[in-house]
Amino acid sequence: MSRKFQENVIAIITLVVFCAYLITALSFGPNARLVPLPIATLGIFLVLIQIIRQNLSSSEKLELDLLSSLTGTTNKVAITEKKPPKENPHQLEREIRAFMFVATFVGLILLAGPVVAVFVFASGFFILTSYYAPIKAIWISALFCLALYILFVEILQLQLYHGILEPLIIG
Amino acid sequence: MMFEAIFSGLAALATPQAMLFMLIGVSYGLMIGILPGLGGIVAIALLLPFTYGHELAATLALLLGAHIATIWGGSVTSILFKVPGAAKSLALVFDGHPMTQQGHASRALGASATAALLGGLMGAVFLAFSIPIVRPIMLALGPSEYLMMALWGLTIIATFSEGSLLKGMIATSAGIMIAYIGMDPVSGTPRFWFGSVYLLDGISFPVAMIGLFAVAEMIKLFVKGNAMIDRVAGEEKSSVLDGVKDAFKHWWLVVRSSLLGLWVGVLPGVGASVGGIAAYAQAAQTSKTPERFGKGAVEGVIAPDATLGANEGGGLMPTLAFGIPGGESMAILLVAFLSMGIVPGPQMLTTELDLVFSMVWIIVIANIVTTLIGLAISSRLARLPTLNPNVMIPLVLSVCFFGAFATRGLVEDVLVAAFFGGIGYLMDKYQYSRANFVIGMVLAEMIERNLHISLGLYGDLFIFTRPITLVMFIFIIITTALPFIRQQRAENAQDGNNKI
Repeated sequence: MSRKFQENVIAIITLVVFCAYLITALSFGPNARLVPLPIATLGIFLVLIQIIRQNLSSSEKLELDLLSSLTGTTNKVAITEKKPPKENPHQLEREIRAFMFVATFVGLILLAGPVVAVFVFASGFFILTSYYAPIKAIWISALFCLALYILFVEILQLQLYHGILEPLIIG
Repeated sequence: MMFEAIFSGLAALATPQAMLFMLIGVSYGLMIGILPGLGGIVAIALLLPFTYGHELAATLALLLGAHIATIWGGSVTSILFKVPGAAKSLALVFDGHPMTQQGHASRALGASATAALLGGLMGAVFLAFSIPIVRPIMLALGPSEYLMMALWGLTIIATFSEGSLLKGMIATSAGIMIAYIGMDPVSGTPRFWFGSVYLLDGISFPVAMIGLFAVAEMIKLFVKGNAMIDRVAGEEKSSVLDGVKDAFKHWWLVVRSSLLGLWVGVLPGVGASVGGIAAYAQAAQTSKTPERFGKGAVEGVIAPDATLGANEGGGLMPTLAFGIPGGESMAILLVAFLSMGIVPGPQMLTTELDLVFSMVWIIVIANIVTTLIGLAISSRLARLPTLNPNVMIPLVLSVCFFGAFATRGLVEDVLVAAFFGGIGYLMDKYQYSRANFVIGMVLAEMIERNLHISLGLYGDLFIFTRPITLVMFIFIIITTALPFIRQQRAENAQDGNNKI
């Protein structure tokens, strides 16, 4: 997938979200839609220009040199401009894995509550990445879990969520 | 009244809880700041769940203490590892890292900590002295002028955003849209709730911040994969004390850079990242020996750090007085203030003046504590060889999700934090400014409220019937159009040169 294709996908998704927002805002009363409606319209307009520009122009002409905009002068000191970083060939694979890790963690929280989820996720992560040996990983995760429990539950008096599984197991 | 507020502001901090929170905040801020990629924004985002149920001054000490400490923490990684702790520490890489390579890491860290302290003190003094000047102006402004100010804040933020101007404006619009999910405070109409009781309460700003910055940074670290920093620590040829002396020797540079930091901080939307680079540029351009810059000149370390230190005092002024954040870190601090019940506006400089002076004192004390700790650990930091993300990702992610849950005790907030984590990662990857998104979210409510009040009080044509509002409106149009005109002129000049 080329960078331009990815940029177009993102822009089109953004456009769809703005359109859905606009359509939803139309059903509100005049006071409730007074600001959301023009903001959604502006958003659609901006995304359309962005799509046109990124497909017709090779460079981002709207990028501004912050320093020269502030001072009105040309900056003599060489400062490297921020450009999209070169993607490594395994980027997509790593991104999918990262999102899966996050989704797994959230799933664990929903199923077993945050305390158990943190222990399972942290020890699993340490073991899978081979950062610690299994026994050490479990010890460190357990200690970390205990620290979080003391901080949030004992000190901050947080009412814990015990997960979907608890009523099924305990009955 | 002013002197009374100065003393009561200090007295509020003289409690064991406030002092303990300050120490925790500074130590935590230094730790987070030193970890590359986790700057002040992530530090504050992770602290947001802890801002409930404590003394107000103590919570402010925790937040501001952490925020101030991250500034110097970010400089450490730039100097030692050539990896900026945050975007604003980029300028420290240019000369700080060459100094490390030459065996002067301790000296660079000493100069950096002292310059940040001096800049921070100037920022605090500025904040204190600007109150009597700004107060009459603020009291003279009505809702229509506040509306214009918020709109100006939005347009100027988008204009100065990093990367594409269009993407910056799209991100701002998206941030405003998110803020309107939930009950409309004016008409009581539920908006964008899709039948979900959870959405009726709106998206929690702290939860969204945790996702957008902290979760997204962890995803980014995982995708990047390799060790964050890795180096061989060499032998030291100078001491921390040499760096401290350097900062005092170049006192005029410190003063100039601090003033620049104040100016950049006061301008809405022009974040500290611009300030650091601008300070480096002015130091190089005004130096008698500019050829030394980029090769390990200590002035190249002193100037950006003094600017970054002073920036906070400058940034707090528009944030507290007008509710318009000076930059991304001020936007997230504003979210924290709102969640603590601190509402920016004229009352901050009248009835809540002691709270503002508490903040002034916190900036002073936190800067001193940060510098003392910084100077004490500099020589040890100079020998720090490596940091690995594999130990950090699960631990920080755990704190993120635990924190998101703790914000309101709702498990749905964990899902929202994860969702915003994904959005934050994609925004960063495709260069849609997350800072603009947050500032849009924060200013959305101010815009809507003041628009409704202005329409009710002054009628539909209030822009044209209120002279100050009209002047501000024209000013917004000019400041929005100016960068486009400059850009067009530059392009025309370039085209002309190419033809020749």
